[in-house]
Amino acid sequence: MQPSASTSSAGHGVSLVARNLEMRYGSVKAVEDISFEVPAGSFLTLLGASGSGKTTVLRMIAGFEPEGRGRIEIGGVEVSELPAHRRDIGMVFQRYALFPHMRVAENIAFPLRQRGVSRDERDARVEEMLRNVGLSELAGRRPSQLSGGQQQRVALARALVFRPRVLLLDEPLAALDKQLRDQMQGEIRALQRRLHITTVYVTHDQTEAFALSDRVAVMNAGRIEQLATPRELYEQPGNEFVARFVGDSNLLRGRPTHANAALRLTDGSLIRCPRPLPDKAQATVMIRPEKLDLHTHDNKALGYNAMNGVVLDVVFLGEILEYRVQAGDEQILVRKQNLGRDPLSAGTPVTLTWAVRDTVVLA
Amino acid sequence: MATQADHGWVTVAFRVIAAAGLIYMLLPIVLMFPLSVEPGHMLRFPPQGFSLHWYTDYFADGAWIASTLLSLKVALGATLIATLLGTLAATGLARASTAIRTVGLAILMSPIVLPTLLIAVAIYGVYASLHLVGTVVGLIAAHSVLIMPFVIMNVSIALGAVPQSLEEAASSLGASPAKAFLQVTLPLIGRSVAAGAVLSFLVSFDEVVIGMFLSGIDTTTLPKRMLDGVFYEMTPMLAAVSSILIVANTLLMLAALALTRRHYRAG
Amino acid sequence: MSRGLLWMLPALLMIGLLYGAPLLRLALLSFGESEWTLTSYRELFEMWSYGGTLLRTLRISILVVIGCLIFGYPLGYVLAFASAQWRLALSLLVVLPFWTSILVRNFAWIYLLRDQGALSTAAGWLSPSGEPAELIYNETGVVIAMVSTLLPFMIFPVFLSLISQSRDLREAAAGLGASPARMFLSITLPLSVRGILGGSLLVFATAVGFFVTPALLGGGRVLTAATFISQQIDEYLNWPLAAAASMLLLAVMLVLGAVYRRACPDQVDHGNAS
Repeated sequence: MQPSASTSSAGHGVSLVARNLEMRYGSVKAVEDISFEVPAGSFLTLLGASGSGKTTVLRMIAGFEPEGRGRIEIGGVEVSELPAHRRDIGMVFQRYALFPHMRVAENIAFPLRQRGVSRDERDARVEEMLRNVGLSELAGRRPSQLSGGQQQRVALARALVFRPRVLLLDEPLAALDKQLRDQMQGEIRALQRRLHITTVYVTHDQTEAFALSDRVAVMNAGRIEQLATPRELYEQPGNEFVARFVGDSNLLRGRPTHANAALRLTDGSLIRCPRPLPDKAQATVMIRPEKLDLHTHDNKALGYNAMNGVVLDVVFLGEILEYRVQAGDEQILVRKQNLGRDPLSAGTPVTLTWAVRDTVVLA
Repeated sequence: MATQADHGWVTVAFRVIAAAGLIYMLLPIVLMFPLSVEPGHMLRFPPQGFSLHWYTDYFADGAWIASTLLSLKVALGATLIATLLGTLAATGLARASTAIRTVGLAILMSPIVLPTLLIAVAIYGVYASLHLVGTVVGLIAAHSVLIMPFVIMNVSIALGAVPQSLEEAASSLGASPAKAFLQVTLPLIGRSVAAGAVLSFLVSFDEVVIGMFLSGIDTTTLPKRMLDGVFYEMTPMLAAVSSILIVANTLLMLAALALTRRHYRAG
Repeated sequence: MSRGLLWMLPALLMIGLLYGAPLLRLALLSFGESEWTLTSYRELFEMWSYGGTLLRTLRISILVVIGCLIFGYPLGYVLAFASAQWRLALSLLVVLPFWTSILVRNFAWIYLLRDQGALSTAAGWLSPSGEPAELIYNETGVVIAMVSTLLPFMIFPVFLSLISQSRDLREAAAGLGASPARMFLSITLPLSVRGILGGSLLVFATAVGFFVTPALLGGGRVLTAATFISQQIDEYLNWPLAAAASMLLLAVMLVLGAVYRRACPDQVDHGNAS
């Protein structure tokens, strides 16, 4: 997908480019040299824990951090110097920020009023938007009379009614319960796809990020650790931080040998790697728990790595069985689908195997 | 939160003293009413009869009414200015950086922190050379700065309850800062602005010291005229005027209280 | 321009113009009308230490603080620990004087404290000489009236420092066997010291610069800082002297303000909730 510097065909999404964003609060660097591109019509999530800087980046794009530095381009046009109210960006806030003294319809009509849209057209578009989010009967209510999910939909409608070029969302689902969250996730994604609007989303929830986004930027301490598709992040994490953040992982540390093609662990096991290890004294590889197989007898096959160990315990989670295996100096987490067979009991000696290509080399 | 507590005899003792203290504070106020219905010429308690003639005398007296109207005019003018500038200032305070807010707050609150006498004397000195003593404009100007802190305090508290995200939302939706203020912030703090205005009006109307120095021969504020009454001739007329003032003040105070009771809950 | 400063500008300009400039002029005046001199200050020093004005002002202010503590702390206490209905009624009663004209509140004292009046006679019964006491146009009358006037300034800080105390502390103490009175002495009272301090400073600072009560109930005989300044202007037209006294009063205020900020550093933050 080539990043385009022009408007998309649907007239909604445009590309968003951020270059060298930086933001300080006193002596603390909240955002440090962040650069990324969001192609027109695509969905990028900034994923990170609190304090990672993800919200600050979003606010910088929106224009709420005038002391921030860096370049922001929307549709090829630089907006860094523009005040927030001229950037033509739709934003959904964490607590919706609906105007309590206005009714739902008035809330949604607000941006249209600012743009001088005529009364008739305003009413028509507000109605259309309400239909889009399924809240037509609630037009006359006040925000305080709505449930959390309904308020969220109004916030979304309000942010989209004026057809902004970019949509920003700041953890909009954080205050909702799980079921509602899942439902809203689906709706947001569907809406975004239908409108083809360039979207930047902020969350700390990895599952949410993966469910919604085309690409995800994992953030940590003001920097982007890795920006890639959910699949790439999971299967090929660039470093230990990303590996741990994006799912459970098993980390094996050791000394590169055999011209950096294999890792020698402290207990002597040799782990073959699909890519060269870094040329250092110590290196780390990662294997996802579901990539491991357990065998009760020795099993050596070509193209597979193997380690001997002992089952420590097993947890029955319904769909999944989780084993904890002591292999060498490490405790390995293994996840197997529950196929109805009796689980292995603690104390059983086992051999762990996994495909060499599933060994992820970390930087 | 501290609610009911029993500290044994300490609580009992405090309650007794508190009751005495309450009487101590309220006696002067309450006393005005019986003193004002004394038919005779001297202040007397208990009153030797019941007469409302001091009240009718007040309303019939041209000089007293003139002073009353002057005080009303000054209070109105000062309140308008103070409400406008004070609301803007409070908004600025809410948005300013901590350093500027600290300094700004100190300066903006100074009129009620400093002894009113100092301010009155200082302004009098300047007004004298500018021939502004005894002018309505002069009084309005001096009062408006004195009462501004009351508007600022009320509005600041209200602004504290308005989440910053509301203004940011308005901004993201295309509203310029001025429009965001007028269409989003102001409606939400409107009641507190009104409460601040009511309280400032009250303070200006009752204001003694500045009125004392800046009043002229033909332009005396009501408090100044009352002050003259104390120094020259204390009759129940003063009690009558005081009673009217007490009632008016109480009503205004209750109005301000009522205005600050209910707030919108931000969604 | 820093965000926010623009909005504050009109108000700041007005204060600068109407308060700042005149005060500055007064400051300059204190150093002489035509040339730069310290005569006014010297004169002031002599008059005040001779006439005892400064001492009197401080004395009166301290007595007022004590009086306000005696009545104000219990009132703050009762208000803080009142039940819901009582709280509303009581707070209205306490707030009412605060918003009533100072003039009105002081009038009654002129009547109440007059010679041969009820209070004067009653005080006479208590005095050793048995004669009706002189309660007006002297320091006593000023103090009595000022306590009544300034009580709210003590009540509010005390109230705040008491109401913020968590109930858990007292319940824990009770659980450990503290008697109710002991609980007050060892827990409630010490935790309310900040309110006592704040209220005292507030009352003191206000009393030092107070004009109305000394003027009304002093009868021209009780010279405090404020009435002194007024007298110098009204009767003697001695502006430089009045200015010097004003500057001294201002300096005292600033010092008290600094002490207050050091002793009670809980600034109210007027920033937006986010």
